[in-house]
Amino acid sequence: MNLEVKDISFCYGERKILEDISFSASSGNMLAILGRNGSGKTTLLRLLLGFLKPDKGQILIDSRNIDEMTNRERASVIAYIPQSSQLVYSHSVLDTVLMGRAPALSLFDKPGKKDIEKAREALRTLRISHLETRSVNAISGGERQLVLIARALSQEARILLLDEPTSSLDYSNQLLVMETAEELRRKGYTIIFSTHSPEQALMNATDVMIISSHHISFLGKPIELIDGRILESLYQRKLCIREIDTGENQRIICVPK
Amino acid sequence: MKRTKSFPEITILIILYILVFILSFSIGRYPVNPVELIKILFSKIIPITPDWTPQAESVVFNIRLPRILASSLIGAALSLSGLIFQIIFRNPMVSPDVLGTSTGAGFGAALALLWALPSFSVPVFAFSMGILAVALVWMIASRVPSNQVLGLVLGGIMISSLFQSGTSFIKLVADPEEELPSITYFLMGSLAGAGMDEVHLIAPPIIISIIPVLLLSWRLNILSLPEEEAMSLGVNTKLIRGIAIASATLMTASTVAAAGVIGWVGLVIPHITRMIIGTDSRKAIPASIILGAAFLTAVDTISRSLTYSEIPIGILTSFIGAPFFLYLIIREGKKNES
Repeated sequence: MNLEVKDISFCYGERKILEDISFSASSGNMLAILGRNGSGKTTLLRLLLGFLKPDKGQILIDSRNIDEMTNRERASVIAYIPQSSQLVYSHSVLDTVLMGRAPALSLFDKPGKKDIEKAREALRTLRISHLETRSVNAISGGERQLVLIARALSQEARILLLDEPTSSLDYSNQLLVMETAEELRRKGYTIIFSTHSPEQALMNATDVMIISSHHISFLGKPIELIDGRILESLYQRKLCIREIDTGENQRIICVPK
Repeated sequence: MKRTKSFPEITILIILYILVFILSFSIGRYPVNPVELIKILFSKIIPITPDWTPQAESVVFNIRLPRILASSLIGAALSLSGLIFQIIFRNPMVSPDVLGTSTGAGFGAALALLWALPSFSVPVFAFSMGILAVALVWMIASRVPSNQVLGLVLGGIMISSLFQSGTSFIKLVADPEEELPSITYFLMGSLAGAGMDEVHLIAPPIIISIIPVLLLSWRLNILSLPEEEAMSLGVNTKLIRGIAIASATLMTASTVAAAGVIGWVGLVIPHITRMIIGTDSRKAIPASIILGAAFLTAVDTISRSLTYSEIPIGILTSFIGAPFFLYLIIREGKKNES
């Protein structure tokens, strides 16, 4: 599935947020969106989800404009995985994952056996079947994030948008969530995630996009950032970026000097 | 909240309701024993030779039956409206009057009583003003498109306060000998005047409102998620919220039209429902209907049999509801601390 963003601009009233944004992402891509606070990362995700309409430009999924899609059509191709947080009403893990079946059901339909099986399959894919009957507020933040990813899988959308997926997680849960996202990418999903962590973007993404001053200031492979200049100018810090061999694979790491 | 198997719980609630139903028929100034009661009730369906007095039959069919039907319908409607509002506003502390339905309806009834209009106009005025109040709130919210939920809640507070002031003004100018007592008594909430006419008045809107809510029960689970998360699942949040608000408003306005303002049921019963059944609306909605009906019928039985002169049910529900709510707050506080 191919996502193509063509020359979009967006303003909140008079305030310019994004201007002339163009990029594309396809099956097997994992695109990290980096930017300072208020740079428009979240606005871009909201535009991709169709919550906001661009003032100019188009967002196409497999050559079809998302503006012309109904809510249900959009939800069947693009899934949103918000930051994990405690909910006011805590549903069970299975019931939460089952909500992903909504785009496949009409207004008054309720999920049936097939939908429950799809939800269980998503739990199995992420190896969290043992949590099925637990309440989502009673599991760890990392597990909750996996439940939200499982919901996206049961939604059967092939493009997954993750909004700062590891922002409130401890280190091991951060690794778990990002490894899960990488695994899904290898299975052919298109993953787009916003993050405040250049380390994460360099280590996990196949492509990195940097937004600053309303524009895309960089779009390319993580290795192209190895000299550090672009990230140093973004964060106003001296950084040391190296490619290392972990014994199993090549990783790019980034630490402050 | 722990996921539980709902079947036994719903069955227990139905049995509880049947028990309350039979007890409520039996208890009162003219006691009817349960065996006699069952015979009287079934005599309408199957031929049974009467061995009971005509007074017993009259009490069962003319006095207790309409009252129990009214309390069941009103209890179910208030409880379900409360549950709906708590889900769609993602706030377990809101009650059916959050959008000003009850205060609007109370104002309408007070107006009809002030003008000494014929008795049928009291529920009509109550109903119309209840709907008007919510329509005004809806109009305000539509002017805050960026945060419709906030617009609804703030609009509800404002419109409620406006109608509350209107009611206070009516009380001020009402004749203290005749109109003021009847207005005050109506606003306390009472089923003392509930007869078959009231049942016929409220049954259709309440039943018509329950049907779409039952059909949408699963989607209401999704509406309990943050707005954008629900939208990303392809759910038309505006449409479902609109249907849910219209249903809850129709139900609440109907209850006020028939029995005045009965507080606390719509706040407390949804809490108890979630404690018993969990948060899944597919189960919580039927459970809240049954529990609300059982609760209000039980309280109404107490209100008409505890003392010689009947205690308005609105007072009793507050006596029971307020301490229970305090218990909930303390319980939640302790849970958060641990």
